[in-house]
Amino acid sequence: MTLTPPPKLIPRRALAGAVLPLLGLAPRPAEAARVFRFDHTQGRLEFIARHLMVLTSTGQFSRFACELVLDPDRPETARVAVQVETASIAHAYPGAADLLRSPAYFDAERWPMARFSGRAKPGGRIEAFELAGPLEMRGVTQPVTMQAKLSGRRRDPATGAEIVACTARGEISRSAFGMTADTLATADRVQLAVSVSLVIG
Amino acid sequence: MAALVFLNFLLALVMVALPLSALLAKILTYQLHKSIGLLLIPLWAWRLWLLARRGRPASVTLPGWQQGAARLGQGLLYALLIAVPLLGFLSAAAAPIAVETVFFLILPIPHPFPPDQALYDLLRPLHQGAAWGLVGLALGHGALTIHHHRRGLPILRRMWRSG
Repeated sequence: MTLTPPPKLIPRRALAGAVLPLLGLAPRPAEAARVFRFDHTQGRLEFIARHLMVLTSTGQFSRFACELVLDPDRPETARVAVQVETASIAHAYPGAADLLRSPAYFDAERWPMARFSGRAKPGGRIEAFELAGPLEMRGVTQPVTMQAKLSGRRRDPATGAEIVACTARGEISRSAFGMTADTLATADRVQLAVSVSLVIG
Repeated sequence: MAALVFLNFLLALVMVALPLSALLAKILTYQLHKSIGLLLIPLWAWRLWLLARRGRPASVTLPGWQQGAARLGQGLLYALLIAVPLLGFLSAAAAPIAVETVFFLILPIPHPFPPDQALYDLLRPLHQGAAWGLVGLALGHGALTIHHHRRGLPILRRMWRSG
């Protein structure tokens, strides 16, 4: 799957103190860490399902909000909080989004929000670090680990700003969240993928 | 080959009509439809090779305009026999849903280009229109063959031997 690079984001240090406590993230002492806020207008949040072991289909959430606390030089200190509107599922196949909103899948009417908050595990590098934490979906909370990386750090010749691509991938068991429909057609493991470009300097 | 064309046409009607709640059946019919379509491409080439090798059968006694119409119809049939599966494969490649094509769920067939909504909007109706045209032409071809057979002309026997 190819993720389209989203537009660049500008850090908002001033918002950190006000927003992070609301998300359950305490401000950290490291001064190099910045708060990056992005949503569906700037980043992409996709899920990839496998069918009959040989086919894949990709959908995305068209409304979500993300708070990322990140020191680009020390990604092992990163923290993230994501909120997703489950009814905002978009899928290229006609009718698929309605099916995915239904009680058999995300049950968006009953559980309108999904949330993930994660912290970087120790020992990570810029090229590969893990963000682990609870994912709450359909009223079930399960631990999830996202494999994240910062890549393509460069200076934008047009603006002079230093930018870096931030991507994260993870996998969940849909049955662990109560999504047990169509087990013959669709695999239990579903991939999640997030991508955004961050302006870091 | 004609049987595969009709089978695939029926599969297309079924796969589109199936609700998403019958997801397994829908996925299977789509993949089977795509696989049979891909199978028709080498079969078409094989049939052309046979035609070139054996040549056209000797003409039966038909008025000149009917012979001309028969040649035109046959040429159109051959053109649609290759155009329909090719347009289908290309529209599958352009489809925004971006589901792979896996020949009989065994052999992945790479798509020649990434999904493209505008191209898909162009190709899909072309594929559908050509498929309806192919089936209509094949039915007409068959009906005329039976008509001539009833009149005592040996066209049906000749087609059976050459096919």
